[in-house]
Amino acid sequence: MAEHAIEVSGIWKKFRRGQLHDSLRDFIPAIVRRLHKKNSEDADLSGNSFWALRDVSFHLGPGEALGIIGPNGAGKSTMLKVLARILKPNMGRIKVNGRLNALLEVAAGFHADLTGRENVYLNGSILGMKKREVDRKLDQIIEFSGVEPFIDTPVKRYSSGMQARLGFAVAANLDPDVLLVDEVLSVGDMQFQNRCVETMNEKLKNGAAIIFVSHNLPAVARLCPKTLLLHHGETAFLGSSQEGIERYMDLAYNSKIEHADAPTVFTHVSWTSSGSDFIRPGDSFEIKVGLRFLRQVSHPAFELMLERIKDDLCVFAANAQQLGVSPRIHEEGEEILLTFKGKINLLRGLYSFGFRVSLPSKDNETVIWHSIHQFYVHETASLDGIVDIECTASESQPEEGIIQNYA
Amino acid sequence: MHNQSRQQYYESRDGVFPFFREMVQEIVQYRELLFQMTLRDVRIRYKQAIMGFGWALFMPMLIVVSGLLIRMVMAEMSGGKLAAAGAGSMMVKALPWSFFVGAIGFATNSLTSNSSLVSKIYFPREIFPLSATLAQMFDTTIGSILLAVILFGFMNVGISIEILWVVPLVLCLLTLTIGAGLLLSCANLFFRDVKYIVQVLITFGIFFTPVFYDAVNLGPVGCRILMLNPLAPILEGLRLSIVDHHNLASSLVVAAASGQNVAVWHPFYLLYSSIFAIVLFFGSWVIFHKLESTFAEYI
Repeated sequence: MAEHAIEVSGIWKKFRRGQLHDSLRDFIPAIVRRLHKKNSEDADLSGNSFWALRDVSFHLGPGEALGIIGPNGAGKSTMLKVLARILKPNMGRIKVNGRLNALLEVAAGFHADLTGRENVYLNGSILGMKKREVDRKLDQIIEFSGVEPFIDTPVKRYSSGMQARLGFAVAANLDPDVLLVDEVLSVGDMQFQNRCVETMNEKLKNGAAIIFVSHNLPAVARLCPKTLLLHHGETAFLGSSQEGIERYMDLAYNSKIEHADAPTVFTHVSWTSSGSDFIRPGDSFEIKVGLRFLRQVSHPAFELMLERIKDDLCVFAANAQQLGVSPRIHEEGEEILLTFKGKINLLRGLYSFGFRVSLPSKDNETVIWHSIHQFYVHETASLDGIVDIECTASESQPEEGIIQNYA
Repeated sequence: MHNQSRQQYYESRDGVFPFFREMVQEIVQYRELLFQMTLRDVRIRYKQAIMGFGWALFMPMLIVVSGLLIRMVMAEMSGGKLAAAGAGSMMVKALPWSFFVGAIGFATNSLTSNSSLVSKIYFPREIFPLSATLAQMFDTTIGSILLAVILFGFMNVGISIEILWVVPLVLCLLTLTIGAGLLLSCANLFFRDVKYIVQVLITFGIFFTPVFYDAVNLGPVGCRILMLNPLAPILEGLRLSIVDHHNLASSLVVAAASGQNVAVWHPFYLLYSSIFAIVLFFGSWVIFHKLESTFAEYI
């Protein structure tokens, strides 16, 4: 049967810049105009408007997860709001088979003066649950949130973490057919975030479709096999997350800028790895960098650096001499090819290889790194960390001779 | 596991008439949320409030006392005496006036003070001004009970069959209030100074509405002009039917203190208010609903 859980076709949304209708004097004619206006707009704009979304379409079946990524201003939040019916598209159609819930704010509608229990009911009804449903699930919700001793205290006495947990506990007990999630899940500590991901996975297994909008690319890759990349409101890519993420990074890290008096110019940059779709710890890689010298250079240092994107942590850095290439004098016009080979024993995350040529006499702090290749390492066998230490765990009966009292 | 029965199409549609069905359906669908929101509004008024339920009576009491004060001054200035029955009439009119004023006040701000909900979750926005009005109704109901006790228990105002006129009058008042609330909440979202204008209108409106005085005090022409205020027929109607036991289906001509005959009541006045209320209600609702989809952008 394969009916889609959600079908989005041809969404266009435009916004106006500046301020309108400051005074009541403009208000009444504007209303009259709006009541008569037809909705067949052209793709042109009048004056101060811009298209935040242009002809975006996709569909999802039950149990599927779609990630929506893109640079700031690409239209992700707008898309989410249109899907959540908070904004109305100028053109296009959304068809939802069943109930759609948006989690754009975890403690939505919480009122500070009401108790936790009262807020659960309020929040539940805001999210579309009937009172009977909330009654039924109340114990589950309270237990999930972990704020049971405080459930009858006004919410203004809660810490922000407690509020988030309570709000999430209500949302986690929803059973929508389509769930929209955005950065809201990035607040809260690690335990909370892990719980969020677990909950979402469970809902996927139960047949809900999830749309996840985020800047957290590893989280998107972990949850969603399919990704929609938005750029300037348009669909830049719709397909596998691996490719979507790579294309996103191409957009974001587009630096082929040469330093004004760089001694070399790139003739060739290529990357191959043994991983087929995602890179996994232990995959090998090969980077080839071709250079042509613009002038005679004596004993330059070719430096390769690998850094983790989320916090600019330098994972590895070395110069070619340390790796096996002896420095020498290069003539003007000479072309060389450097090949770097190795293994990626890293845990999941986004990483970037950088390369630069630095001269012995110069102050090398100012020589910029050229971004060679960005890649994403995918694995789920760790909570956090940088290096894959190939660790395993097993359980067995205690051995003879081990100290009985460990206290 | 999910209700597959409901498919929803969110299209950008046009046309006024498909609206009505959609609008009504939505409110019915979200009626539980309306109840929860009203409950919320009522609860937050009374939590941590030193006066608790006393708030429900404070405003009407204040109006009645102010009215009595003015009347005493007027009576003294013109050399006459203050009639005791005046107090009862004023109480009957003070309560619905304070309902209207309170409901309008809260409704105007209902959208802007819930801006985070408006911009983050979808549900019909009519719920905000509606719950503000319903919460005010809760307060007023308490006040009415007390008023009934005072009027019928202590002031010996008899109960007659004409009291049934209260039903259409209250419905008319509700319709008018909800209509005004929808319109003003919407206006305040787009023009943030609407709430100040409303405050001013409320402050001075009491003088242009027969709360402190009766319509007869303005003379024959003045009375007719006063009745153009849609609240005037409602308030006067309430007074006439509850305190004066007058059947509103027939007119009433009274001799004013100046000696002239004033047509204090004509059934047409009630008809006028009802039509005004209905037109305002539907007109506001349509405008509100049409603009609803842009709220999140402008809030």
